[in-house]
Amino acid sequence: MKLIKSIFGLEESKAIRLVIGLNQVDNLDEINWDEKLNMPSKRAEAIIKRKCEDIIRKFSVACDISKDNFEFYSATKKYNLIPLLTKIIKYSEKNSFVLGDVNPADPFEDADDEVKTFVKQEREKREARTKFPKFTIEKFIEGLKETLPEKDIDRLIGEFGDAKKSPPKIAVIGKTGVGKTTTVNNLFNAKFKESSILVGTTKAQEKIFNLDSGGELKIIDLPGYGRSIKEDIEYDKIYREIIPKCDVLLLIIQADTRDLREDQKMLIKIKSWLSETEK
Amino acid sequence: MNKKPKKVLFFGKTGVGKSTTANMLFNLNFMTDDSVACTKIPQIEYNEDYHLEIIDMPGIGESLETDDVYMDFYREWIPKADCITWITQSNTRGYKLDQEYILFLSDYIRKDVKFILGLSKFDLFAKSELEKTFDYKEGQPSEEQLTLFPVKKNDIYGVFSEVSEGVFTLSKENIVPFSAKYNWGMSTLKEKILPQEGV
Repeated sequence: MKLIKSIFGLEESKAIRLVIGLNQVDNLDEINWDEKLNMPSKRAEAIIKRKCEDIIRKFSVACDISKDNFEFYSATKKYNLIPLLTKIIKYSEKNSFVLGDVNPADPFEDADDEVKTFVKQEREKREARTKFPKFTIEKFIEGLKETLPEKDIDRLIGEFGDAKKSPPKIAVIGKTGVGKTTTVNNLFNAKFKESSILVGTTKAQEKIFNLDSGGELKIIDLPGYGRSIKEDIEYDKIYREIIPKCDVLLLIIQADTRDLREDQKMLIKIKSWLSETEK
Repeated sequence: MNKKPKKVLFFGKTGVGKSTTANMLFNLNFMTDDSVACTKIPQIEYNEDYHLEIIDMPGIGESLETDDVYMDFYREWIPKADCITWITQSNTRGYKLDQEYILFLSDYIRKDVKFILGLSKFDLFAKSELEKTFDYKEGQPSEEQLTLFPVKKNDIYGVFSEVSEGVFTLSKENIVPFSAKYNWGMSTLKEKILPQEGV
């Protein structure tokens, strides 16, 4: 979207199109998860932040990666999924893809009944108070008509049309058993085939969603690495082919683990694959 | 008991619970920490009851930098081990790093070493991360866990056999699930580690 960027004077982003999700923060050892609210207590939240900062620091040292690329969450507890999704959208740099097109699973679904009822009521009240019309690109462009010359408007409409035709492609990768499939299910509220601890997902699975904005979203669930040397040689071929072609890659790392070496090695490889197709 | 004590070496990925396991089995005081790798150099303690020397090694896989530093310790201690208690987690599918290290260290592992494969954190072993079926109250595995385990054991045996051939003997009986946290399976693990009578 060079035109938009030139209009608003934004720099072309040099950020790598990668989001690293630190999953399963609810499993960090001394965390007491508030089951009633289905969220961490204030103290637990501080522990989560401290531990994740430590992991991020280790990655910045070993792999030269910015802390902006990281977000912590828990797929099983549906915790902090909106910030994660926001980051994915940001790094995908696709204008056809906005928050609201996809809605992550709601953590309060798993909260205490009392809490659930309360949240529902509060949300209804809030919705009634603030009835904004839904933001759409069409309306936004309509609003610009008074300030921009017609030929720019036409180009904008053309560009957004093109953006809609090419759906964002999100690939998801991570060590085996890290919860890739659960993450995808809850992040996009979709139903992938559940995989078990015994076998795992051994092929790249693709799933297409229709977005409210009229476009599409493509998720590629890659097989997990780190099971055995033999399998990884095969998977590397799959990764190498798929990763450069995706708009954004979500790398999932277990937050409650200390062995980061394999993930660091993979991140270095991923960076080189992604840079092959830097625009 | 004038014989030299046998050397039992605890080895495995960082965070799998090597120190915790050794402490529980032999009543030792190796330092442990939930979140930070704290065994930075090999720790050695002598156990009088069984006339054993217990060596707790720094864990593998912590980060790219530390693994190189630790390699020297591994080269020094692994050839001395009479028994290697290799610990890896039950609640994972990823054993590639274990494989890599068996290959790296294949020249240093004694061919006649007693190799025990301890599968830690069995309380967290499940079909998927969503279901934790362990009976926490009784400190016993669920029926489901016990039913699933033989498949898991075969799977792990297969993965380790890919690299152990010609390096050491891996027998299925020496693959032992346990949970140090809930004190389950510890006596079986200990029996396997202790030298057989008359040897």
